[in-house]
Amino acid sequence: MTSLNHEIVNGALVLKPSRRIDSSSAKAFEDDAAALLDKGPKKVVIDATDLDYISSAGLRVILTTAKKAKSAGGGLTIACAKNNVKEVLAVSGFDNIFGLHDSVAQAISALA
Amino acid sequence: MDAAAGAEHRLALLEAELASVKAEFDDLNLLYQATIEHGEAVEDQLAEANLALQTTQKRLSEELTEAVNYIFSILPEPRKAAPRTDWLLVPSTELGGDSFGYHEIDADHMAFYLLDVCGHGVGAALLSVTAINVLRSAALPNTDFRDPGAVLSALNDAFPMERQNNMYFTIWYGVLKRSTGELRYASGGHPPSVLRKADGSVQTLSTPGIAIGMLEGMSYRAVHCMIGDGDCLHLVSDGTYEVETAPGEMLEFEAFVERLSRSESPGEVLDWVRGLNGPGPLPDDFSLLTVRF
Repeated sequence: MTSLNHEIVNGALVLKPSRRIDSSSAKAFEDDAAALLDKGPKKVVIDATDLDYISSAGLRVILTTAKKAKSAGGGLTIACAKNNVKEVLAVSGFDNIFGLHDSVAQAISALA
Repeated sequence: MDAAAGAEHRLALLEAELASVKAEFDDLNLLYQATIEHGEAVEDQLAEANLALQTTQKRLSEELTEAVNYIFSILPEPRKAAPRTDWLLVPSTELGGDSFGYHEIDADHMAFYLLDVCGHGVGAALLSVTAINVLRSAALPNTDFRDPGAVLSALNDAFPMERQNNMYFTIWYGVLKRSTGELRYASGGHPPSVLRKADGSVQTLSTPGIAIGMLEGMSYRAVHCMIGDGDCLHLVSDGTYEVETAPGEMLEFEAFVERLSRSESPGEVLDWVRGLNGPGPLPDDFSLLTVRF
């Protein structure tokens, strides 16, 4: 069982982490995301609506999740990031690589 | 006589009882001695193990100190001549993943760089010093070290995370052409450097691009700006400003830039960040390289 909020929307796995992904929660996110991807979905949307903070450890597990999705023939993108999370994603260059979207629906269609 | 016989009988009984108590005492005494001896033997063994542990621990800590000494030994001396430099590196644990450097590429070009390997500890420190030594000795094939975009692209080819124990690093790399004052720079997943112009205006310098080693085949491109006399450039790592100002409240980068841009020395910035962080060590490496032109 995973504690990570998730749902399948139009075949895409939508992950909705709460509050923080930092060094203390990153491993659980990574494991949960990997277990969910093993069930078959190839496209991943990170719904960052509830995310207040992401540390470099958090970026790392987004990357490993993205690589896993990509090696399965899919991809990963990010939706609904708040300003301070957007800032971290911009500094890390993740905004350009994975894309930022204003809604989960837009994110899913961007992966199609 | 009956009374005498009775007394003798009681005496005999008492003597027998005494003998049995004495035998019991002897047994207990033997057991006691054996326990003491065993205890002493265990104590000796423990002392020996403890000594061996202390020796190992001492050797390990000496080796870690050696590693720390090595890292600090490859960091350049502050420059007294223009451009003057001043820096501060405070690892959050004994060994961190931050390192930096600056050197003259040729008579007209000078490079400044700061990098941050994900994570801490010996592994991160090893990759950090390897990358710094590669930059310092210009040890990348067919790479013009005066072109920051080319340097970052070549580093990305040379250090894919899959071949570096899943480690990667963020970097800011800039090259000043002294004859013209042109600063070309590129960054990969790294916080912007902060430039305070002589007129007091402040710019943040960064380029889009992710950390070195994350994704194969990335190409990085440099941009440029002009540097004049009296300008001041600060290179930082994210650990330098990622502190909580209140539970769950991270220091805003803008607030950090504002304070950094009017600082006189790296020590002053460290004191300010420590003040915000409260007691205890900072959560990540603090590194700050200041260049005054």
